[in-house]
Amino acid sequence: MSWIDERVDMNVYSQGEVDRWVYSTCNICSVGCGCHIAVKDDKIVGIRGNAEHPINRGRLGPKGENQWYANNSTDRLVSPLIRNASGELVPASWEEAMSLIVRKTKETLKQKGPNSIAIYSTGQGHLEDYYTIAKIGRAGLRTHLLDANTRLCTSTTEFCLLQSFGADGTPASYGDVDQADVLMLFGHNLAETGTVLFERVMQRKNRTGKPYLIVVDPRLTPTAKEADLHLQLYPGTNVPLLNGLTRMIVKAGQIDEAFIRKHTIGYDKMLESVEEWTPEKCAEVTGIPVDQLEKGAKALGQAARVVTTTLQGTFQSADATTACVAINNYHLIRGLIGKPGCGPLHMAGQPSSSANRTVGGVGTYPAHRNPQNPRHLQEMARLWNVEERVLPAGPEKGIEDQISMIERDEIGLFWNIGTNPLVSLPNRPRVKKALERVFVVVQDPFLTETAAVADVILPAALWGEKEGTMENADRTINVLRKAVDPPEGVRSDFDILLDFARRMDFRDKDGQPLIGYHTPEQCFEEWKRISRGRPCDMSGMTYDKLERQNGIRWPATEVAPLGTPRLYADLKFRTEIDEAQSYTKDQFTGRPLTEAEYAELKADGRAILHPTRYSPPPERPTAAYPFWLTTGRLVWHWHTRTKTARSPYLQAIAPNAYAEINEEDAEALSLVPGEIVRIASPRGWIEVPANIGRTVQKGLIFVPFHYGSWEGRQAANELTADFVDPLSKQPTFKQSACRIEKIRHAHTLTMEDTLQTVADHYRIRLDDLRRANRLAADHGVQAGRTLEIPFSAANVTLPAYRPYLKQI
Amino acid sequence: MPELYALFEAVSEGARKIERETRSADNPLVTLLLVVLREQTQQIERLLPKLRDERVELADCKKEIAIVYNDDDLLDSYFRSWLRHLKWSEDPFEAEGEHLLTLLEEMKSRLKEAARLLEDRYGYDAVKYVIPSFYLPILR
Ligand code: SF4
Repeated sequence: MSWIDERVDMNVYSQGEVDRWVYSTCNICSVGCGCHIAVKDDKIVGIRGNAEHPINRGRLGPKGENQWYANNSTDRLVSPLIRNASGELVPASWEEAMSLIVRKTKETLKQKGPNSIAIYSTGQGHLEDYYTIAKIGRAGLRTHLLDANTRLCTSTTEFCLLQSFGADGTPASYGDVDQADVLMLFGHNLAETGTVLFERVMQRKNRTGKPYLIVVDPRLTPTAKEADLHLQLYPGTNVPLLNGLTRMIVKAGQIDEAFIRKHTIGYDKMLESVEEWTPEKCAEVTGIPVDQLEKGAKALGQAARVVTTTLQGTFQSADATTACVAINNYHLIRGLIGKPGCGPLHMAGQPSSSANRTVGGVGTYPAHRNPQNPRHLQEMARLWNVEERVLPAGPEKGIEDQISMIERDEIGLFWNIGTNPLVSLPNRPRVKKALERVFVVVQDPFLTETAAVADVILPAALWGEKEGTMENADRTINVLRKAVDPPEGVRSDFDILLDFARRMDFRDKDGQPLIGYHTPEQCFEEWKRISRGRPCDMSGMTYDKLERQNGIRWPATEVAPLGTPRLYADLKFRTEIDEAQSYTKDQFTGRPLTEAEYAELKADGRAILHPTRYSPPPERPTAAYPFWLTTGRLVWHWHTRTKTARSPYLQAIAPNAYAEINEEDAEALSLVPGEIVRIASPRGWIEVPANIGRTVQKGLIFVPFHYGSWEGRQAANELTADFVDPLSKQPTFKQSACRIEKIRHAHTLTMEDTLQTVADHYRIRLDDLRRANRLAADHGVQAGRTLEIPFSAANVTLPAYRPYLKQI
Repeated sequence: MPELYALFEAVSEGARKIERETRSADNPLVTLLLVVLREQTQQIERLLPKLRDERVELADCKKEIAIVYNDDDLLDSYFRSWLRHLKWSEDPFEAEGEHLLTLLEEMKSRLKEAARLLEDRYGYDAVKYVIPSFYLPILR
């Protein structure tokens, strides 16, 4: 059962009553909470949760409640900027900026061909923006280089679904979470990344005792603290854990043989790949004791209703897609899919990254069409009224491969929309150097860190200033109405793209403008036609209906006008050759299979079980860099804080980065709580306070990745290695090697000094001085001895955010 | 088709050399690399006899050709990643790695040249779904 009550969370700052409330959807994370925007005097002055919306019944998390401050921020960009001959960004008119972009695009196309223009977009825009990017990119520019920061957040979801089920679209939904007996959150810190959904889970758990909660995470996160079973594995060992659990379940005979026979292929090879993962080997590699593994296997092997969710702990790890495929394998061999309370629910990070995948702004062709299937491209050519030969075929290039192409001067123009790669991409020093070589367009409401490499900046509208739809993590399409006009001089992403298409004079084969729509709603109507008959069919939706129904899950057709709560209820998977979104990839190397190879599999509507061979992280701790480094999010901030740092409340709570260090490691290094330390990796270094405790296991350091300002040295991605998963090409942010360096003054004691006078002089606590120098409480010190003085100390204790605890 | 034969044969020789030089390295990226290199050479072995026949149709060899190109695409990415790893770990093999990268780039050039010949022979529409577009002539 879902929420039993509503609670309308509200954050409004207004003198007197607001003028109106405008229907919208939270634009922060992928949960997709419904909300209304408060407007007074044509300004956004607040937000409240939508009590009718089934996802959140009025609740909002801290980021959702505070997202609107950014709209009124005084540092909004209100004019395009162009870098002049002296290297400065100076204001320009829209005419000047767009003409320059068009000129550069044409020049680049002429010199380097279509595969030299890259559009790198976002997971925070609207479905209509992404569809327009897909159409302009493929039928207009004819480039393969359409990617987005969804590569960092959700591409593993897409590829694991393609591998197992033939098409994108996560099988289970939040309704299934409400009905599960066991919920396994695999690398998914839901308490901090999807607060409202976590509250929903915990409300039911506190009421009924269900679900039994298994949390897989190398850190003792706020989510793990609520777990019935926390499997605290070593970094980079997701696949060994899953292989071990699968083997135990098979050995216990807890599989659905009839389901396997009828609805899957590949069982024997899959089984072979897990055979070596005995409980003892699994325990040794993962660090999880055998009795805990047995407990996990028992819960997962016996429960009749299991939902497994995944997020960045799985997606941003080595072996990301293989781990997610192993989760799909588990659900398939137990037949736990397509029925209430069952199935994998591979999440997304951002509020609309799923929409970008669905409509083809990244990855494959719109509506889950396979770019290697000539029949699919012929269909797209017919729908767009263009020649098939102009549509690029074959697999796309992820952002990390694009960085390599830029380094080889193969890309001439890089158009960056609604994302901040100079904070969010791994190995930032390399990314900056690469982007300095190419013509960069940055489209953003603010002057982000990426502006440092921009040649043109286009000021874009924010949430509430434009209309459109988004797709959340469980296939729900929500509509967002426009509450106010953007500030003078600012345009929506959608309008900018349409202007670009018009200026480029993109046409269909009859000479009509390629982009024939003028508003987001008209675009959505066109998109519906493209989606008809495909897995993500949205032909039964309209903007008004989306508002009336408070979101609808695709597919929504004449047959299922109110949408589809879960996929594969009929146990027919999308693996028929002309239905599949991909011919799949080799599960180990990532090499795309040919049509002939795929046909030889004879999946024909059955799900595919893949072998899950383990490939450990390429970089591991060494003598020079003895710690694991992992990065992640805080409950208080979103991504690179472009919006959340502009909320005084969120910024005041979590203004700075820090490094979480295990207390035993801190003790071994005689570190003082809050002391500024240097964390160094082979790529670079940062200087942040030490947050000492037991959240991270021994040997692991965690740094939140939100902080990347060019002032100060806090950017986690100065440290991270830029390796990617072989299938999804998602960077492995979660596993790099690093070391801790102490930054300390030296003080040589004089005859007059006491420890107290030294501590007072340097404004540190006496206990900290003793700790930093390993001095016992009664230890006397002698003149001439040199003491180490911590450079400075900061309070790094963040308040917890757990509203559901207050309710109990 | 002697020209194509020679190009693919040279690619195969390059792949074998890289495989020989890297096989003792101990890193997951190399494990991946070796699997891909072996698959690529295997496919070329199957392809070469077919290319001896002047009248060979694309349909008879497109599977091997597609695998060879897609493998090369992966090799590029894995090899460069491994080179970065060697640099970061100050591995003495780095210099040799740089040398092998040159070889890999030569293999890519040959494959681009072969792609041009294949396109000339069979036409763009036929090779479009066989050869990844990054190997085909950039301007048409
Ligand atoms: S849980 Fe996500 S969607 Fe819901 S209010 Fe919070 S940030 Fe917004």
